[in-house]
Amino acid sequence: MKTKYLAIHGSAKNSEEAIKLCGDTLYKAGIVSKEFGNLCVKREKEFPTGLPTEIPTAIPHVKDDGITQNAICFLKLDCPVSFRRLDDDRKEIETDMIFNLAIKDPNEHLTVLQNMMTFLNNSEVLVKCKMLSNEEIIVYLQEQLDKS
Amino acid sequence: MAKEVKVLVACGSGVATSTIAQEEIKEIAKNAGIKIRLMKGTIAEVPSKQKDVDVVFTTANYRNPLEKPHLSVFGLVSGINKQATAKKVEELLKGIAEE
Repeated sequence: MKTKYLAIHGSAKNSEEAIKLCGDTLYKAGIVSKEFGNLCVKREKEFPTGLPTEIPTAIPHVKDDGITQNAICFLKLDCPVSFRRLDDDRKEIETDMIFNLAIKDPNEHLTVLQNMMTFLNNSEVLVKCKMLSNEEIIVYLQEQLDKS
Repeated sequence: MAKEVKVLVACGSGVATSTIAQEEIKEIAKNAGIKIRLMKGTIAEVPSKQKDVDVVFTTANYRNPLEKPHLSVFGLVSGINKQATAKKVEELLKGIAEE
């Protein structure tokens, strides 16, 4: 099954609120359980997902049996929030772009995951993400992440 | 003949970054002609699962002492210092294979 892409713009006071915005969106789309957002928040506390790339982003996610399909929810915030770093949780990054991953089957999702990491390391495409509307972002993510 | 190296790749939830790192490590080992057997897990499982492997790779930070050789491979996932990380992985695997 193809990866589903969702995109929203919003505002959040902190990483927890940002993750919940994504979780709610995925829940309303019927992709995850109601608890998914909270589970991601809980996991983020233990194992943060902030990426210290040139343009920092965060990739909150959690292992959850309630996920019906592989999906990525993109959130563009009007003001950045702090996330602790995946590689060193004593350090933080600030980001206004969050990619909430709902992973049902990582092996089926592998190409998308690999493309995703290349994508997140590419400042040019990330700058573009900041400019696009929700509808345009979905098309753009499909183009960039579904290619094999 | 060099022995097969048993490898544990672990990340926070065992679904995203460890899957990517696992693929990269497979490729590195293949190119270096090292036979490996991969196990995937979560950071929480590292203390118990390390008993069954020769080397532990983690994508997230892991600061507790380990009995087995350990290397952080965040670079393989994020692309930051990827080449340097890949080289370290290869050297570590080679060292163990030739033991």
